[in-house]
Amino acid sequence: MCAESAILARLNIRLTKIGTMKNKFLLVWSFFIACSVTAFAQNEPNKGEVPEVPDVFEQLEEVVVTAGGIAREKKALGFGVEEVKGASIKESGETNIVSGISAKVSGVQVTNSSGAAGAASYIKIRGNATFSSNDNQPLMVVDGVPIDNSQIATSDLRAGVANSNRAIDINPDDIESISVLKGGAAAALYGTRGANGVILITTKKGAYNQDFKVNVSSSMEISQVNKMPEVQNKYSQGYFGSYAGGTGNPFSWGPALSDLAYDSNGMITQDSATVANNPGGVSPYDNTAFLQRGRRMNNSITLSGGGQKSAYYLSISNLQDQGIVPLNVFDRTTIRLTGTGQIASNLKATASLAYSNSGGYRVQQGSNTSGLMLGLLRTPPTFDNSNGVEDPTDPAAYLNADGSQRNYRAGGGYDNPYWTINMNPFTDEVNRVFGYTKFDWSPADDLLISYRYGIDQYSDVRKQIISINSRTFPGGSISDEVYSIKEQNHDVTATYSMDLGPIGANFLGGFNANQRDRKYVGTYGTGLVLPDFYNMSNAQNQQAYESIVGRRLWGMYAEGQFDYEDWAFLTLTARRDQASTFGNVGTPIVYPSASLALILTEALDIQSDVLNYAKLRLSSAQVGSEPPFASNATYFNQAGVGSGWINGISFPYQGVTGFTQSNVLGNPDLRPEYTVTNEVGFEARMFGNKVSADVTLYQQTSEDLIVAVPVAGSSGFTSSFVNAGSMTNTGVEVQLNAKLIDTEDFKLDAGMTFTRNRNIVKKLADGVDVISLPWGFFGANQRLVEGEAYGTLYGDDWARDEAGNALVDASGYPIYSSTEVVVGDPNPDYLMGITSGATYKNWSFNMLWDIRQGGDIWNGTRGALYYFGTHIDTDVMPDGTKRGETFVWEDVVMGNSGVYAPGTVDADGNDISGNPNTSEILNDIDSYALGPLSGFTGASRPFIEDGSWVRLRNIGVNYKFDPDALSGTKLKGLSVGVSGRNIFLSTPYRGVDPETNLSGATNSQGADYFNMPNTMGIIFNLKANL
Amino acid sequence: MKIKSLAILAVAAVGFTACSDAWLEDYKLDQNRPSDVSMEVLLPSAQAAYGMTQGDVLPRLTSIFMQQMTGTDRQSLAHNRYAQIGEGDFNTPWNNSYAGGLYDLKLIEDKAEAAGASAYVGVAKIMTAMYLGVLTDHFGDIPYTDALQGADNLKATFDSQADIYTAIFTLLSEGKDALAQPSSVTPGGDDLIHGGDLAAWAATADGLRARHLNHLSKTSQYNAANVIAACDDALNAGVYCTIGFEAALNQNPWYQFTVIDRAGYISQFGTMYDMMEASSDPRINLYRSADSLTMPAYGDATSALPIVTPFEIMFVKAEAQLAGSASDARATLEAAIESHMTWLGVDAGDIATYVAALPATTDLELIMNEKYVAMFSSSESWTDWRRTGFPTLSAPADANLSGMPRRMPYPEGEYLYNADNVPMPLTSSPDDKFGVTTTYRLWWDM
Repeated sequence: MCAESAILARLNIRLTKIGTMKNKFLLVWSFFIACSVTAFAQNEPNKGEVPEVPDVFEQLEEVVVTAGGIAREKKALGFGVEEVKGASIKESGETNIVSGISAKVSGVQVTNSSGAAGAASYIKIRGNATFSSNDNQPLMVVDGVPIDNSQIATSDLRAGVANSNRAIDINPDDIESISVLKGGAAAALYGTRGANGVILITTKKGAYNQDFKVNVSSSMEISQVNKMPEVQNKYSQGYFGSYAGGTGNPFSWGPALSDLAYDSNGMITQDSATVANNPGGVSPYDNTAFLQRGRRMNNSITLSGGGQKSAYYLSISNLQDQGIVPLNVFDRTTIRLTGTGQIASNLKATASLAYSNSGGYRVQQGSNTSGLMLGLLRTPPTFDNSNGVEDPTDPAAYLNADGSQRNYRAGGGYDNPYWTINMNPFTDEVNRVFGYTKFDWSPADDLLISYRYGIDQYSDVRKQIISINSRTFPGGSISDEVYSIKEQNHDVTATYSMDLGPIGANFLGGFNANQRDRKYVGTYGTGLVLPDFYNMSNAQNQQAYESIVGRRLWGMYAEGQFDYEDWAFLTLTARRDQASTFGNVGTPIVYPSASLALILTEALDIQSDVLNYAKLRLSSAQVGSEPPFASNATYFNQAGVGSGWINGISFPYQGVTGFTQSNVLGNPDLRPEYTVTNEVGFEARMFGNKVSADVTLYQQTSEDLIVAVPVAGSSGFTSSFVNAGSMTNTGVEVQLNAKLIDTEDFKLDAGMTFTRNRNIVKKLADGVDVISLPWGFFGANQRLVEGEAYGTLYGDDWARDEAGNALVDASGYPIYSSTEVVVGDPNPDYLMGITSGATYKNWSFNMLWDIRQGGDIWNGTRGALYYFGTHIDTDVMPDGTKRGETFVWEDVVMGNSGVYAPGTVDADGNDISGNPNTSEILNDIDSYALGPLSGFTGASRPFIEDGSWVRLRNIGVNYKFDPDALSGTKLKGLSVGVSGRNIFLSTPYRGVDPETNLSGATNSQGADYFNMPNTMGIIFNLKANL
Repeated sequence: MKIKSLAILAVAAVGFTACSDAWLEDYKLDQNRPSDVSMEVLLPSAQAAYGMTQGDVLPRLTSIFMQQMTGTDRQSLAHNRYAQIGEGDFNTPWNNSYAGGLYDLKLIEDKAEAAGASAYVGVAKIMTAMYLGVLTDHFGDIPYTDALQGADNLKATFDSQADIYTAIFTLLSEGKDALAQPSSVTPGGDDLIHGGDLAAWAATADGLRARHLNHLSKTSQYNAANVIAACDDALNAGVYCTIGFEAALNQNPWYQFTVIDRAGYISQFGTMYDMMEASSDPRINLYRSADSLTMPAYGDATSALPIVTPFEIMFVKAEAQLAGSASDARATLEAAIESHMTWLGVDAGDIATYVAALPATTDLELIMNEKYVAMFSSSESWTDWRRTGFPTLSAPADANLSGMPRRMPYPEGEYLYNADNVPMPLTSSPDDKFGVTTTYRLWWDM
């Protein structure tokens, strides 16, 4: 794999003809640094096809992949690009390459939506750049070809199942490196698609004159839940002192288990005689035992090699991921074949084809009466969801003899977790083909013309079944869906270089034609007749849906790179885009960028043992974001007349079809949104190149953000798309690396990334005070409001005095205020990753700490469990108050009859406006289910929690056998290792792992309502080379 | 070589840009939705929207104002005392009218003019008058000549109510004329109101003309003879205009409110029921269920919503006749009552008993009190009360206003996005906004 980068680098250097680079530079490929530093996870011994590089840190000339898939010297870049090696992604043990980037790159925030097998991961670079609800993730590009990374949801994202983001279809073993283009200048060549940054994935390839190599990699992970909300196990189903097992009673506010007994049938009873005769109480059931050990097997084999005029790479991989929830699986099989051949001495052809088949069996989650955690955590400790059975598929757990559902509320309420996993399956299968063909023609020494056609196409076939008697839809329903997604790109580029003495110049020009097609057909059937038969023919009512969305984009781009005396590098770019989503497709938009890199140590001729290298980066760039589909014209919609009060009329009506002019006025003048980034960066290497630092400051201003602005109805419309909003992101990114010990046998290094981004919504639009992000709840929802950060959490709160103290009423309860106010900010204050790697002879060790400071989360789970009386706090509150004991609500002002009025005096002249509350209230149903202290009955503010964490995302040790030890075998290399994933987590958050998010990979972050928990695991791996 | 390289680039650039615009245009349009549709699918949409405008939010409020029913839960409870009614409540009927029906009717009219489909022109004009009538009688001055311009004018000016009335009469007369012209195509099943019966549309135009001429009773423009003539035209033409609903979906809006979506918000008792009880009105059990929660005749799932009925026009005629001869008025009044009761399916004997027991003196109060009962579920009762003061009603003691509402506040959307043109400041007192003061009373209610 080293060879291919070498060729890329050589090609680039040949083309750029940077003559002034003299002979003093030595190319060190970044991954090769990773090889030598961590000496971990390398499954190919150095075959000598690239120069053996001594430890020449002092003359490091790293090469990174930049926009367009072009490898460039890192020192020549005037903007920040960070690279993650394939080995590091692989090392993370994550199924999803997006998760594999976590904590490794500054400026990047990754959120795993849950620990469910196949669940989506969300990635955001330098904050949000658009108001659009789902378009803030970076463009993902593989070998120069954009691919789809959407998360398509079948249901409301607060409920339904955890669907995958489609980067999951990529085999991590195929990845050579990932370049993260963070700012505008880095992404400038992507124009209208670059506002959120770009993730450039380079896959492994064979190299010319490379010996045939076989790499086998096998890993197995055993996982388990890493954090669960704590529940009480002392109090039974029921309330007001009465045990209500086996009834519809939802509460666990019943008698203590110690006050109950088993009757002669083994049933729990409160009968006083039975209890007197059978002292000792009853034992709680641990319903969380429902969660199992997860098991993930990942096997891959790669073959690569090359002759004088051709090279190839072939990989096959298989992943089988069994989640911690029984029956939840995600499987993936991939094949990738990449071949390169020299058709003529100046014409090279490359073709790559990757196929993946993936899919799984997914489980209902979230705010959903069939949701797994919802049913699980609300179950009282006196009800055994499993009914004593071991096999999670045994119907005895969830099915009564009459076919009705067995759950703790006698068939009402919520699905028994065993019911939901068995009776409400969601299955999906994705068949995906990604491929490209590329020709590189060099008609002259200084000219290279390339053409590339890339296609990414997949179908996603889904079936969601809700069985009869399921709580979410007792009549039963079937949803059959087929999504077909296709993205095609044609790119033609020409590179031309010239050498003008001390100035070197290199020009790039290109065209991009991009087409994205999304088609959807779905059938939804309700009213099932036959149980256990899930063909659409079994549905009494059927509705069919279809949707076609197509986008085309036509871009031209040019880049000029200039270098002077090998210490000043200037890059100017421009991209000109036209797109089918622009108001006027004939009016192009031009995105310029300029970046400057100054190697200060060279420019000023600094020769110092302390400061070995210093570089200043300056850049300014403009990139864009496409308008929403079909907002540039006005259409007719199927007619329907609603009102806030009644359903109204929908068509067909009285047997006829009706259409009405859409109330949304299309805007034929709509422009793409644009983001201007100004960035300053400083890089230094010190103390004999043992320590390196890279600091970036940036300011991003996103303008012309598209908002559906309301208009007066008398115009004939109610809203219109307008380029109106603006938003800024300001941030700091730091990377530090140090080689602490560097001897022949023992090497130790440490690194750190730091990310801090501040987002402020500057302007929405005239007449628009708030934009609510989707998937919120009343009392906890994410909004865009001028002057606040993107997605700020709004919720209901207690009435408060001017000092912010909650007011209580005469009975001692805080007074509820339904006005929604800012209750939290889900955006973290900062993110930090700390890495450490060590090698000692054949041993290597690595560690990755992931730190997040701040980032509020609404713990709606705790709020609900307070109501039901299953939360641990309903047994013993954090302040030690036990159930049945009294306490005084903290932080309160006793108002006059609950109304705070400064200066209020009672009949005796005592000021009663601001006296501390002294009224005692009870830790019991009175306060929680009847009083306002639960999430259902009172404010959501008390359930906003700090989502900070410190976690050990990865720790691993690896042993690489000496080649000598393998002599006599066919093995050329062998290594074995064991690592831990996510095995330590410290957080003040009182629910599941705060990294989870209810609505998955969307911009609505910071919500936990019966989220699926996250996992931790131990991974055993083996790698062999033949 | 450099020149050759540049030449290659230049040729490529020209070649690639040439066809890009057409290639992009091909993908510009949303294939899921049509960019243009025919009159035949717009008409049912405009009619459904009218059904909701006339039958949803507005009559529920006015029926409570008129004490023909009573709010018994949530917001409806507050509506009894004219509280919790704000500008936001009127966005729905306003937008359903302007951005919904009226815009679609404008498109129908344009398309029909172009296609020589004068039947559609006629229907569109009459329906436009129908919408304007409902809107102006609730809100007063409303946008019309300057409205429905889309991006060309997002801030429409408001026309005076007098001008709106002129426009209504013009639309009705032009519409009726257009119906008489040869038409390239005529409505059929797409006409959910009259099923393509153009004569019925002409009769509806006459009925609407009679109604609105009569609304001018407090103004100097009022002419009883003209009202009677219009009534006769309508009645002779067999005026009868309703819109129907379905059993399973798309039910009558009263049914949706009182049975499906908002059961218990409104109950069937109040001044009107007191009057009916006092007069042993045989209609009472058709008006309300035994539990007073539902409306068997007017609020069944498939109950048609009356738009213009012969009994309404007879009451209008009786009112106009009263100025000339009390005996003519009496006969017309009795015919109106009989017509209404027959329409409801009241037994003939019960009708006779009821009519026989009517007070002997034929005065405006009698006519209006009887019309008040017969126009149950319609906002016309509110208009009649504003014009005539009958039946005698008074605001509840705990009312939020100093009197009873005589107009509706303008919708929030106009205040937020077209504030300069709204003919009443947002800061006006609630009494002003509801027309309790004479400052902002409707033109015909001065």
